[in-house]
Amino acid sequence: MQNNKPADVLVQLIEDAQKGDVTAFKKIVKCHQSYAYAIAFRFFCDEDDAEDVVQESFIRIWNHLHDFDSKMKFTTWMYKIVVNLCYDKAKSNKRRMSVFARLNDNFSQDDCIENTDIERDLTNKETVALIKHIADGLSEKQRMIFLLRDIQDLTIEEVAVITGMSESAIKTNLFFARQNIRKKLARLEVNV
Amino acid sequence: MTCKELQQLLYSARIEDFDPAEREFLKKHLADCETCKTIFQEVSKADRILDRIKEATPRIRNEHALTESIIAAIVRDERSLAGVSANKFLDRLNDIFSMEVIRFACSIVILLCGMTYIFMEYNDTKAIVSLEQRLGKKTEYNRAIIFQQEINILNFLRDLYNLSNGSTSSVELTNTLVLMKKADLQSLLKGYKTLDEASRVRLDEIWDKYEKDESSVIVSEKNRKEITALRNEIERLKKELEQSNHKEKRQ
Repeated sequence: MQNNKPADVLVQLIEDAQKGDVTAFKKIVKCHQSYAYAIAFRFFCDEDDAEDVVQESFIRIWNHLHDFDSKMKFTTWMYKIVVNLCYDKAKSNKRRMSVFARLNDNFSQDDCIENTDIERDLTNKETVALIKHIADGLSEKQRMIFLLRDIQDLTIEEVAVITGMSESAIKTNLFFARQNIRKKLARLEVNV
Repeated sequence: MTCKELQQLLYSARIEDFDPAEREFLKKHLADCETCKTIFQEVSKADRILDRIKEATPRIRNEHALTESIIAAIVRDERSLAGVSANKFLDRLNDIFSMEVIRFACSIVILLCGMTYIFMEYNDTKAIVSLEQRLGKKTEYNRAIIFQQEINILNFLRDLYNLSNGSTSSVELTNTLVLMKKADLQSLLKGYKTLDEASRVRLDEIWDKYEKDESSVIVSEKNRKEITALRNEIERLKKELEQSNHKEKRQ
């Protein structure tokens, strides 16, 4: 098994997990949780919310593993579940308080990226500050499409499958998101 | 392409996505237009910041803990699902027994079973009391001893059957008594001598019951003759035993 390609190993692990092998599923979780977390964290800018979504996503993946179509990339299917759960969680968060109001409330001057030296590695906190800054004013859809396409580097086709939107709708949303974000970043006084 | 159109393109598309013609136009236009050049520099800076964000992969606080919590939640869910199916079964049973007809039928069955048990116990007790009276030794023979005697008789008869290596065909008279055919009479009579007095009385009791209650036993005429012959032999043997006991006492 060690000589197999990673894709073959993943297929084998999925088959084992579909038969109820929790150990195989644990390996899948270990390999993929960071990808799921990256999307959720960049969407929420909150570690707790992101971890909740990741946990909920893998529970849902386990419960619907028998529905997984092997013709689809596993990561695409996983992102689709993560994205849907991000929207669901954002909705429930909105009931308590507006997500964007909370982002603005949490966005203190200490987190400000005015004096950040972006040449070095960004920490979670600095990434949060930057994303909060550029995401302000975007709709959830625009933010998610921008994250998937420009930050996660997925193709338009993959983003369409994950979000369930048409490619033209994605391009339109991406147009507005990029314009908004680039204008903001261009005005930002940072050392690049 | 006008300046406005180019600026919109710069803000909304990535430079690497420009086609060769757009790249060529951009290169020439930026040399002449200061406004567009400034915007191009701003967009380039924005893209560099975005590249940094892209490179800064968010790190999970404790990857191992997150994995474990996911697996623990899955295992917990699996267990609770198993519990749900058990509950479903109990719910189904509850539904069935909530029907009046089923409850009534169950009550009747339980009542009949109870009455049958009480009736059988009553008969046994009656038989034991009667035996106690016949023995006239109530203080010595309690219920446990009487049951032990029945077991003795049964074992005695079974032993006889086993000694004959199963060649003896038998006639079942009651639930507990198996009688040998006439061919094994000698063995039976020999064994009869080894029984204690109380066991012999119990065996007689069973004989009496058999004779009085033929309806409970299916016996052919041939078997009936054999059994009667056996009974006569036992009676004869009893007299012999009494005589020999009498002689011993006199001596």
